[in-house]
Amino acid sequence: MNINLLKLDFKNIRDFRELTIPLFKEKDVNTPFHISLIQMPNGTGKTTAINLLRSIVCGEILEKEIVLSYQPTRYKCDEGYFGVLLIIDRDLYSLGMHFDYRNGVMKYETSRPKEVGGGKSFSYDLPPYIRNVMTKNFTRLFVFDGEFSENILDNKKTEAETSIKFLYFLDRLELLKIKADTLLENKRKSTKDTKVHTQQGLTKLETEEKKLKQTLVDLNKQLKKFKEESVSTSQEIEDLEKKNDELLSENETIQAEFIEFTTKISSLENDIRNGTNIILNILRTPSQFSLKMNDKLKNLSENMSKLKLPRSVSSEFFKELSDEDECICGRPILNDSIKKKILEKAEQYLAADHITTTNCIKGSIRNMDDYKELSNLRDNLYSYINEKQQLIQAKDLLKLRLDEKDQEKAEKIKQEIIRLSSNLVDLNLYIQSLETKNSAFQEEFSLNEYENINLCQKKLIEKRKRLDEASDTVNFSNGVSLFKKMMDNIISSSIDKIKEDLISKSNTRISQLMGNKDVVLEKIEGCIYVDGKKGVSQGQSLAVAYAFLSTLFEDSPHKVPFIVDSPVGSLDLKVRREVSDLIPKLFAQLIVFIISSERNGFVEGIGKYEDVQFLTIYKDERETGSIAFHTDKKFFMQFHSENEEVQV
Amino acid sequence: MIKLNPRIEEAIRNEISVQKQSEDVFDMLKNLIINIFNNNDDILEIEQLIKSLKLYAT
Repeated sequence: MNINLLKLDFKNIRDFRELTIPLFKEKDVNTPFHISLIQMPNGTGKTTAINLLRSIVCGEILEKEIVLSYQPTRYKCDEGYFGVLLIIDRDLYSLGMHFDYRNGVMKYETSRPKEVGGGKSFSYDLPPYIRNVMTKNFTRLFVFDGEFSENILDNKKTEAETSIKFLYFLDRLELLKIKADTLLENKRKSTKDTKVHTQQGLTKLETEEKKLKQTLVDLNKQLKKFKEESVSTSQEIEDLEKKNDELLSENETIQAEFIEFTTKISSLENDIRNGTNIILNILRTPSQFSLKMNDKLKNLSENMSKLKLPRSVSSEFFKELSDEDECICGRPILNDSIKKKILEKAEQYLAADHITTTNCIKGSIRNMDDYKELSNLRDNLYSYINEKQQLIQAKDLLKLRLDEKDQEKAEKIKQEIIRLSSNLVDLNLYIQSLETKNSAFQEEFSLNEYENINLCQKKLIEKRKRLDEASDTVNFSNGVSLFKKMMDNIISSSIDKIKEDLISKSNTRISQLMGNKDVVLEKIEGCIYVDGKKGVSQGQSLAVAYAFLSTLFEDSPHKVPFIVDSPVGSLDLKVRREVSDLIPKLFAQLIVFIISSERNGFVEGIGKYEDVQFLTIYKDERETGSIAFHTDKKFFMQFHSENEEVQV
Repeated sequence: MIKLNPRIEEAIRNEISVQKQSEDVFDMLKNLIINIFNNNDDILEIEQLIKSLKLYAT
């Protein structure tokens, strides 16, 4: 990208009622002078021009306070304008800033060449590849004042190093770090339930998960053990009951009754089992056990028949029909309103899958069993149970007819059965507590993940999910830390490598320009350090600073004009000569704002060059806001402002 | 389009080597840096790169 500045336009800016500063040659309007010396007394608007130039090339939106600071104070006006004509890679662009002093706002205007779309747009509208480069910091590198070049040499400042960052866009790598942090923050927000973002937190979560895993293993072991104990206890009870039965069955006096009772009890147990199954089957079909439910379902079926539901025509039929050109009746479907109406009506019909489901419901109701009266079945079941209980008691009473010894045996067996049964109840309760999935039971017994397998499994799944999320976040966080560290190393290593190149190239340039190797750029650490065999004059240091700046741009694909305010400031004559002799050699277009007292020494050096224009701009006190403008070299050299002290 | 300065590429290459990262990570990082130089970076590109970094226990 090659940029040259061809013209500056001011209208109602501070003391400029209207001023145009041409920087191009009369014979070739698209070619700027190599050097434009613009002499303006203090208070005429040099700083204003520099500030506006810095803002306009990067498209900076100015705040109200700054906008109003450009409003002329010596006469009344509500609007102002500052514009530049640029030639960028052979294309002319015009950029303008319109100031609205009534509202304290400003807006941009861009005129672009035909080749890139042409026309005028009311915004800062340079091509993206230029906008991308023209940042505020970048602009500061080529539109600067004497103070900036002095800062490059000031070991309390870091201008030199910062300039490298800006020119090589290394500052944008800092942006990558910020973006990585934003990503991490978003990730943490999305997994906020986990609340674990550190390695320590992750380790704690891992320990908890491990503990739960072990608990689950232990609970399953317990369950297995209790189940085995339950089986063996049941077996023991069964054996004891068998032994009890044997004791009774072997006694001749009660043998017959015992067999009778046992047979009856067995028969009753069959009846109870069958009766229970019948009732359970009925309970699974609501229409059979609830007369109310039965009536309602029948009512639903009748209503569906009355309403002819489901309709045989599905909504899909109408949706397809709306896409046709002709209705099934043969009439054309002419316009969108008819199509829309058909689609609206389609909403009143069920979709094909709904029709299938509705048919299913209708069929099921039609084929449902009639209501059955449960009370008889229930009463029968109760009578079987009661009868069984009575028989068990009667069977138990048979023991009383045994002899004393057998009675004692039977009593011992009974006591053992009671003890084992009690154990069995406890065991079964433990088993139920361990394996139940019934939340009501879990709540009633206040079971937790360390007592119930189902709760433990749920907790483990939840913990694993949190662990996965946390581990993902922590890994990502570690990745972000590494990424940022890498960025820091890359920035610092790049700067070091670029510095080496810059020092070497700047020194080659300095030695070529000065014709000796007496002065060298020694190092860049924040600022630049200049070293000289015979000592270093202030002018030489400043010349090295300019050489450094021009070398910075040498490798850059962007060639820009150098615009400097007071390049020699209060330097002595010798220094001015040194600087003025050197800086024109460094830049393709040099625009220098100076005051008459800086002319001595500096202009003499510049004057040796051919492609120079001498402009003198000052306030014409005869008319408020009027500016006098001269292009004559003789006038330039003789001009002296009464406001300036001669410093040399 | 802003191209990558060879000295910056050298610094990226060196850092990839120091951090024992793969050639793929080098390519991703280089592209990401070129893209941010040209204001053309994508947050997903950064996320992908971070996820691709090999993390060594310290």
